Amino acid sequence: MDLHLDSVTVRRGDFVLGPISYRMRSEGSKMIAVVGPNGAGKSTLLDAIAGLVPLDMGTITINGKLVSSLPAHRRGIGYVLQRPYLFANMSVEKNVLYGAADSGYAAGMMSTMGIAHLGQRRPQTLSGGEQQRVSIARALAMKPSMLLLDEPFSHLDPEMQEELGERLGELIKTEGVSAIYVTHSFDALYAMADMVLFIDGGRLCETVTGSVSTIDGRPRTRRFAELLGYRNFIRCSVVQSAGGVLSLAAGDLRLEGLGDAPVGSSVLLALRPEDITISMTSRARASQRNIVQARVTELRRMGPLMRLRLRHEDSGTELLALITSGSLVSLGVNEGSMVYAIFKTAAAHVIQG
Amino acid sequence: MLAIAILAALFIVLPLLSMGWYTTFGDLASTFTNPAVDLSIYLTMLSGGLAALVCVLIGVPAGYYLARTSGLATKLLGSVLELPIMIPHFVVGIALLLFAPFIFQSLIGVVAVMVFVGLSYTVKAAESSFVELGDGYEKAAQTLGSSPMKAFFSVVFPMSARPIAGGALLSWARGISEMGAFLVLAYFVSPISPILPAATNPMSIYAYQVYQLYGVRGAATVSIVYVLVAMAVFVAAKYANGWKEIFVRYSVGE
Repeated sequence: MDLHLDSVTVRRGDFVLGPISYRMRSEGSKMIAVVGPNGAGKSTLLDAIAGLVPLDMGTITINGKLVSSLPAHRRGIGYVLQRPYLFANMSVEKNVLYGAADSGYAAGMMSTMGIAHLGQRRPQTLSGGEQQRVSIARALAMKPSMLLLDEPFSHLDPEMQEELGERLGELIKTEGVSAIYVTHSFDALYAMADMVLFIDGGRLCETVTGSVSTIDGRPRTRRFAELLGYRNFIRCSVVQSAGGVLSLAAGDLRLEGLGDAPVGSSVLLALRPEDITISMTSRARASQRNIVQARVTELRRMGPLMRLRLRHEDSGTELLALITSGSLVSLGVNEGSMVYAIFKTAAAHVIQG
Repeated sequence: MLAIAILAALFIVLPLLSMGWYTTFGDLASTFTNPAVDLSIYLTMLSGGLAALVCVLIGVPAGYYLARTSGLATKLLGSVLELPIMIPHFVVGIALLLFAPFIFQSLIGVVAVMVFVGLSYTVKAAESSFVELGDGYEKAAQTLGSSPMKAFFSVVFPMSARPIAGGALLSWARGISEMGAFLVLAYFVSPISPILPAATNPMSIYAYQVYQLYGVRGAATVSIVYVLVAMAVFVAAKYANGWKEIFVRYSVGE
């Protein structure tokens, strides 16, 4: 697959997407996840690739073909939108056949998606999951050169999201079609991504190639880190750097994190609330090099967990930690308690700037 | 609430039913078979049908444009297309006569009046339907290889057909109930061979003439005939799905 976005710019009222430049060349099919907060421009980018919004500037080339000069119906790009948009004036079978390359292939796609028995039904009589299966089968039946997926499972329950995500991921690999997948949650399909594009405020902020674990471990901007679930950001200065481990100082606090930054520079240490262990003593395992004595200033229930707001009194550093209700009771933690917040160096990531 | 609704319904129904006291089944039967009345009904139904067709041909693209665009031009066009509702009917006749005097006393004149007074209903029904449908279906169709035109005719229009048909029927009903504009422009329509074999009046004008000749009681029978015809239109409209919603939307000016 060869995807080349060259200075792609789209204006929609006050919102401007781009200019975005990105090139991905690889053998075989690839799955690209596009992540970003709501309103970042993820769907606009997909609309632009599909030809549903005109480019104000730039070009889009797929496998050497300049598709940005073609109308949407001549691009050969499959698009599964957030809603299935099944045509209510046709049966399920006719929906799948609507843009199909050939009827036999479409029938095979219906079988693969487990909807062959629904062929004569009207779309409006199907469940949400069934409708989205039809939508996916319909998009794949046209043998697209690329498949665009705009949060296709966002209206489904979590179990259905996982099941369909896995099935679609396998199907994409089997069919050998490259896909660009927009999401702001981290579901089964996201886990299969070969690379991630992080878009924020209409700009392409980060591109990360690699497995999902690599992606999660290397947020380079605070916004991307927030999207990945990091809630603690501690302003530090770099004291020492050795082998990818940085020794940091935040006032009187001495901390360690993973990253790369010059000694003396100001950085942010990013940390997820769930990576913090709460203890009443300062004893920690060998890998837990960061120990912060702090006072509990707030306790709040967050679903099955309790969120603790902690304050290191000398430096004024605040931390959020998540623990189970059972742990809270067994530790005897209350608002005002002094506790130790302990976390591993591997869980703390340094963001420059 | 129910009592008020029943009172409102009675306010409509009782005056119509009261006309029944001043006629007999024999008179009704003879009126239905009166060639002059039949020709008047035929002219009105024919021109009403043609007007509804024109309303669809103009109103659907106009409604689509209004639904899919925004800005000053859209607002201006939308306002202009709603204008006929607030213009006195008599004035419509004068305006059309001054604009196109050659349509005086012609079938085209009758159709023009009906389109003028009824077009807004089809436009509004189409616009509401397209807005409600959203542009996701046509986008999906385009990514599946359909040109915008094919996407419209294969997906968008069929999915909006019922509300649009409801709007067209309202346009038709509005057209056949017109009178003021006919009084100026087309009260005695010249024959056109072979479409219209003899000169005649639109239904409303015919009833008005009977009233002038024979008074209120004398006009009751032909009025009942016309009410039955109008009711038939509305029964047909009722079975076109979604007409109620269109009517409600239209009446609240959405």
